[in-house]
Amino acid sequence: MKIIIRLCLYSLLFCSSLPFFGSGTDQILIPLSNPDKPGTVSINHYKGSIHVTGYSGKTVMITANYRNPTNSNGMKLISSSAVTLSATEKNNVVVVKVNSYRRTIDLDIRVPYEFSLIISNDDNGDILVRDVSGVFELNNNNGDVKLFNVSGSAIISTIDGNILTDFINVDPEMPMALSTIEGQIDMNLPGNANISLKMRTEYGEIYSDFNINIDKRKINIRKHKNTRSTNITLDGWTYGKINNGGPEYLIKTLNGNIYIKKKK
Amino acid sequence: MNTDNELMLQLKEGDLDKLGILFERHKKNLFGFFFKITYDRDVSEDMVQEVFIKILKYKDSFRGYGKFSTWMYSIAHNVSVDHFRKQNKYVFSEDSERLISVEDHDHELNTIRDERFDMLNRAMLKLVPDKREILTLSKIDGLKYKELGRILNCSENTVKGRVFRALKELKNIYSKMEVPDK
Amino acid sequence: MKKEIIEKWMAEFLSPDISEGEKEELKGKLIQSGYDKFELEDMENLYSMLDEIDVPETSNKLDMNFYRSLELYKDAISDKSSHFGAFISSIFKKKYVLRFTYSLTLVVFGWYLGSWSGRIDNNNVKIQLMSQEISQMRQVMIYTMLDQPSAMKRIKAISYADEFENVDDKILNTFLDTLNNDPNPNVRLAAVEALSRFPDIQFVREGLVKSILKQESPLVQVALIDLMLKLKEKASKKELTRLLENRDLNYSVRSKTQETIRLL
Repeated sequence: MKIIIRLCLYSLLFCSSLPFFGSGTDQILIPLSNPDKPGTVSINHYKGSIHVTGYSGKTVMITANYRNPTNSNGMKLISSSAVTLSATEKNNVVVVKVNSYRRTIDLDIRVPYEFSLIISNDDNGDILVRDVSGVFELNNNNGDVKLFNVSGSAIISTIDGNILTDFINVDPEMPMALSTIEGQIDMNLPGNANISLKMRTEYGEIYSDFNINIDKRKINIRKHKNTRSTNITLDGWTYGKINNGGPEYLIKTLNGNIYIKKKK
Repeated sequence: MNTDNELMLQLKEGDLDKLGILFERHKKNLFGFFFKITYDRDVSEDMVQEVFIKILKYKDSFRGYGKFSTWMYSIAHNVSVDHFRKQNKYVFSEDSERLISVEDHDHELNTIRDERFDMLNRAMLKLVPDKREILTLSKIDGLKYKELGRILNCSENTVKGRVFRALKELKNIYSKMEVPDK
Repeated sequence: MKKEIIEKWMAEFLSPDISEGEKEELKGKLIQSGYDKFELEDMENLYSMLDEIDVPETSNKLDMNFYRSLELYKDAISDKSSHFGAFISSIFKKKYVLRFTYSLTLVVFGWYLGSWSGRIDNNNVKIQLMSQEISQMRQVMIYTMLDQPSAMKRIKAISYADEFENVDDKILNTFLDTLNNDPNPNVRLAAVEALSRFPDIQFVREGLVKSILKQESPLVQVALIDLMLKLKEKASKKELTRLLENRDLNYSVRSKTQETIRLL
C-alpha cells in the first residue's frame, strides 16, 4: 500500500482566501497512511523557529508564520512566488519542504504523541519539542534546541545554541549524543535511568545531582564542597555511570557547562 | 507455550526475537551433540552459534511440514561435516591429549566411573567422526531412525546399519582397553 | 541370516522407541542368529553409557555472542519494515539490498574458499574460519547499519564496531568514510572517537589529518583539532594553517586552531 499525498500551497500572503488562517499564515494538514502507527516528520529548514508539539490528533498539522511581513521601507508584501510550503507523505513519513531562504518562517507543528523527528535549521530561531515520544535528530546551527516532556532518545547538535532536554523516559537501548560549541547542555533524566556517560567541556564545568559512578581508571576526581551538586570537572573526557550503566550518552561542549539533573 | 514450528513460522514472519526462544530451548542439546563429536568446548560453542546464524539465514527454507528439530539437526550435521572435512586426514591420529585437558576441568567423580568414562571417551575419539556423530545423533531424544535418515540424507535402513556398525566398532575398541595393559 | 537384517534388528533392539515386548522379541531373534546374551547386554550397557558422557556447561560467551549477533541482525533489518525506514527508502532500499546480498555472497564465497584452503591446514583453521564467519556476519551488519537513514542507528553501529576484538582495515576505512561523508555531525563525532583509538595505524592517522579540511561543522573540526594535539601530529600543521584561511571559520574553532598550531 502506497499512499503519496502531495500538498503544495503557494502562499498568498495577506490575501489568503481562507480568512480563518489570518494574515501571514499558511496551514496544511497531512493525513497518515497508518494513523494508528508512529510516524516521522523530516524538515530541512533554513531560517526561523520550529516548534513541535504532540497532540491527540491523527494527522500532522503544519502552520507556517511568516515573520516580518513588512519590509524596511514600510511596504507590505502582498504576494511572493518564492515562498512555498509543501509536504509529502509516504508510509507515515512526512517530509516537509519550506522555502525559507529569503524569509524567516516560523513553523508550528502538531504531531500525534508517538512521532519521530528529523529536523535541521540554520538560523533565526530555536527548535522546541514538547510532549512527544520518539527518536529525535535535531540540528540547529545558531539557535537553541529544547525538549520538554519527551520520551525516547535524541541526537542533538548546535553550534551557538544551548541544549536542554527533559526526558520523562529514555529508550534503554539507544545511545544519545548532545553536542554544542558555545552553548550549555542541560540534561534532565528520570532517576532510574541506566546510562553510561561520556562527557567533555573544555572551558566549562560539569555538574550533577545524580550519584554518578565515575570511572576512576580514566580520570581523577575533583570535588567542589560549596556547590550543592557534585562537581566533576576534568580535563578531557569524563566517563561515568548512572545506576547500572547502559547505552552511551556522548555529551560535549566547548565553552558551556554541562548539567545532568535528576528529574523531580 | 508455542511449539518450535510455530516459533519458526513467526520467525519467518519477521519476529526475530523468537530465535532467542529456540536458542534457549536447543542450545544445550546442540552443544552436547557437538561436544560429543569434537570433545572441544570452544569449537562446540562456535558450532552452536553457527547453527543459529544459519537458521536465521535459511529460515525461509523451513517449510513447516517436518519437525523443527529434524531440520535443525540437518543444519548441525552440515556444520559438523564442514568442520571435519577441513581437518580430514589429520584429525584422528591422537586426540587423547586434548581429551585429558577437557577432563582436567571437571570435578572429581567416583574413580571407577571416571575410569570407565575415560575409556569410553578415548574409545569415542578413536572412531571416525562420522561414527561418533551417528551414535550421538541416535541418542538424541525424539529423533527416530526415520528422521535420522532425513538428517543424513539416507534411508532408514542405512541409518540402522550405520548405528549398529558404529556401536560395534566402539565396543571393540572399548573391550581392548578393558584388558589392563599396564 | 543376512547381515543387513541382523544390523537392522540390533538397531531396533537398541532403540528407545520400541515396547518391552518388541524388545524381547528382537532379543530372541538376535540370540537365534548367533548372538550371545551377554554380548547383547554389553552392547546395551555401552550404548546407554553414551547418554552419560560428561558434557561441560556452556559458557556465557555463547549466550553473549548469540544475542549480540541477533541484536545486530535485528538492527540491520528492522528499518526495512518499520516506519522509520520508509524515509528515503525508495533511494536507499535498492542500494541496501544490493549491498547486503553482495556482502552475503562474499561471506558465502569466502567460506567456500576457506573450506578448500582449510584442507591443507590443521584443525585450528576451522576454528578461525568459524569465528571469521561470525565476525564477517557482524561486519555485514555494521555496514548495513551504517547505511541506515537513522543517525541513531549509525551511531549505534559505530559503538558496536568499537567493541570488536578484531577491527580490520575495512571497518576502519568505513569509519573514515563515515567521518567524511555522514550528514549528521554527531555521527561524524562518533567516528572521530572510534578512530582515535587507532593512532598507530598509519592510514588512519593520515585519514584523520586529511579530514580536517573536509569538515564544515565546527563540532567535528574541534574534535579533530583536539585529536591532533593529543596525538602530537605535526603533519597536521599544514591543514590547520589552511583551515585558518577560511574566513567563515567559527570564532572558537579559530582560536583553538591557532593555539594548537602553536603547541605543535
